[in-house]
Amino acid sequence: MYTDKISILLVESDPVERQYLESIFRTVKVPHGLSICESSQQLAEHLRYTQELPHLILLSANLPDISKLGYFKKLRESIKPHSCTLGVYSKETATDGIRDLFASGLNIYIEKPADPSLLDKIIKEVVSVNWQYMTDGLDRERFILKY
Amino acid sequence: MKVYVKCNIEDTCRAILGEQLDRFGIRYTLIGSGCVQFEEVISMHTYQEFITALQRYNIHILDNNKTLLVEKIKAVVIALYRLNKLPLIKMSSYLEEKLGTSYRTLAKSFVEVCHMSIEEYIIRYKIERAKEMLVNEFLTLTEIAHTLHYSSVAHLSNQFKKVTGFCPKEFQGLMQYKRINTA
Repeated sequence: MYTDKISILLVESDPVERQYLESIFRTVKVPHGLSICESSQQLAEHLRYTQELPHLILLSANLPDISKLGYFKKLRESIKPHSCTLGVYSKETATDGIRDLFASGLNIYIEKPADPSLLDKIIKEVVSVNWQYMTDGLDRERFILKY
Repeated sequence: MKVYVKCNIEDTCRAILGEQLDRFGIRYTLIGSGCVQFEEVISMHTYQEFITALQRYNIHILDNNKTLLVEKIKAVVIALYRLNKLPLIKMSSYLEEKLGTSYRTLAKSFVEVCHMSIEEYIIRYKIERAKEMLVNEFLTLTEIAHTLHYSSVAHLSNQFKKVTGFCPKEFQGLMQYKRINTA
C-alpha cells in the first residue's frame, strides 16, 4: 500500500506534555500529519465524525477513562485492527495486566523513560515501524511492541 | 467462529493481477515478482480502469524510479529468506550485483523512501518472519534461528527482544492468550 503520509492522533490532557510530544513529532522524518485530542471524550467524538481513521492513535495512560478495564476493548471494537494502531504511554512500568491490554487490541505500550532523548528515539521508532506495517501490508495482529 | 489464515502475499498479488488482467482481456506475461509485461498496446482508458481495479486490493502501479528500486531491494531480500538461500558474499555486494546499482545509491534511495536503512529493514523483516513462524507455524526457536540464519538461539532471542520488547516465548504466549481471549 502506498500512502503519502501517516496520520497520527495524540490524546493527551496535560498541556505541557502535549507541547513536549508535539515538539518531538515535529522532528519525525516519516511524512505524517498530527491531530490532537485533549480527552477521551474528544477522541470518541473525533472517531464518531471523522471521515478517515488515523493510522496511529497514541494515548496517555493518565487519561481517566484509560485505566478502566475494557476501555481498549470498546475502543478497538469501534476501529478495525487492520487499519489503525493503538498505542499507550505511561510513567508506570508494565504490570501483568498488560497481557489483558494487548489482548484487548492494544498494539504498543511505552513506559516513558526519564531520559527525554530516549523518548524521542522511541516515538520515532514507533512511527517508523507503523509506516512499515502500512507500506508493506504486514499483519497487524502481530503488531505488538513494548518499550 | 473465528479462523486464522496464513497467506503468501506474493502469490496472492500474482493471483489478483492475473484475474484482473484476464478480466480486462489484456494479454500479459508475469515476470518475477511484481512485474507485468503487456503483450499488446492497450488503450489509456483500459489502463486507467485496470489501475483503479487494482487499487481496490491496495495494489498500486509503481511509476517512481526510487520507489521501484526500493521494491526491488525488498523483493531480493524477501526471496533470499523465503527460499533460505543466503548468498555467500556480503549482502551489500549481492544487492549491487543483483540490481546492477551501486550500494551507495541503493542505500540512499532506501532511506529516502522507507525512512530506515536496508540493514534495519532486514532485521525487522527477519523478526516479522520469526513472529509468523512462532505464532502460525509453531516452529521451535532452534528451527527459526536456523531458517533465518542467526548464529544461535541467543542471538535470535536478543534481537527479538530488542525489536519487540518481548522474549520470543513471551510473545508466543501473549499471542496465544490474545487469540483465546478474542475467540
